[in-house]
Amino acid sequence: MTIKYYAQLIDWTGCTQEELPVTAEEDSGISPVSVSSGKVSVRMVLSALESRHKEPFKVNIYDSATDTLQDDFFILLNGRHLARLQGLDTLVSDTDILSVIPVTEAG
Amino acid sequence: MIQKDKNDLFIDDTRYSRQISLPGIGRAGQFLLSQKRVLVIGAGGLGSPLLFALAGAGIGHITIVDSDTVSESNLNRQFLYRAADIGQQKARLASERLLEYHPDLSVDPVCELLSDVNAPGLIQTHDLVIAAVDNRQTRILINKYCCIFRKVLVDGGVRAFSGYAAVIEPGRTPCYHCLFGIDEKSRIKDPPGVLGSIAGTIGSLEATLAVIMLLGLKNPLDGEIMYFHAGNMSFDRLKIERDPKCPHCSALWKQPSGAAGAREKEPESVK
Repeated sequence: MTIKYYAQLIDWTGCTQEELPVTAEEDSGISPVSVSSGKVSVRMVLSALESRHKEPFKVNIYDSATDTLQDDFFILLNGRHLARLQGLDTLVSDTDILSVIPVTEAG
Repeated sequence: MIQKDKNDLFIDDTRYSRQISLPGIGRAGQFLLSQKRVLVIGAGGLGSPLLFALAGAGIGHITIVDSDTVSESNLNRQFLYRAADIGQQKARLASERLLEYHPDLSVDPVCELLSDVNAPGLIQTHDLVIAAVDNRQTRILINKYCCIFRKVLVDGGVRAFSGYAAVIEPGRTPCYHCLFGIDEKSRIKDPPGVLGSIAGTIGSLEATLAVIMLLGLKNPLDGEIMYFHAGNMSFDRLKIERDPKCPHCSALWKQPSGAAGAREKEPESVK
């Protein structure tokens, strides 16, 4: 799947977007969330991204140890807010686009 | 100099010569802008550049809503104001500054907090609404009444070195609530830092989008949100989907006419 980052997320991850295969075979070693069943949740994707990006992702976006998603970000799956889907339990596929955007309210 | 042409259009050809020469504007477009009424909610960091840009573009009437007074921490980005203005009403000062810049402009200051009491009357009586506010609650309120009255809403926001701009056409694009209306509480606990020029960038983009929409040109964002990030000088677009259960805009999608076509018709819900 494709993960797209906006605003300061670009600084923290060092990229504007990246790919994370989620339907590859279990032993392919392509990514930490590779499974054969195809049942991958957003939580698993975020954990994999935390492993990939380490501290900036863990501190600012998602901490898998406490299952804590910082609340000044929105996560969209194919343009829809996770809260309108099944939250972190929402299942994803390899063709999905996950967008992470900061809450931007100042004027 | 204001001149009347063969089509009876009164236009200041000298002041607007650089715009009239543009394809897509011309004398007819300039006249169209002179007939438009724009409601700008917020006269702060976003409001400073966009209000001057709207006045310079020749918008006929601008109403400025802001209940706030000028404070010292505003002055890094709110160039409508001076150090001597601290403590004075922003909406009134902004109106004065715009009239100094463009004496023929029609401008009304409204030194009030936008609320369910004054929002319907204000939004209903303007052609287009611009949100230049600093919190989510007000954006949700503005969006609600723009959906009710089917007014085009240009929104923008800034944070740190980044910002976004969006055009919401109720019934044609997802609305603010579709994306950000998960809860009405602001998620920002402290006043967020922002580079002054970022507010200038996003405010200018909002003004540009507003003029394009007022001219009746194609919505260049077409329902997407544009994010700017100064860290890598990138403009990125975010495609969002409408919420089929949105309490504000979902019913509008079932109606065949678009926002422009229904603009003059008062919805049943507000009669």
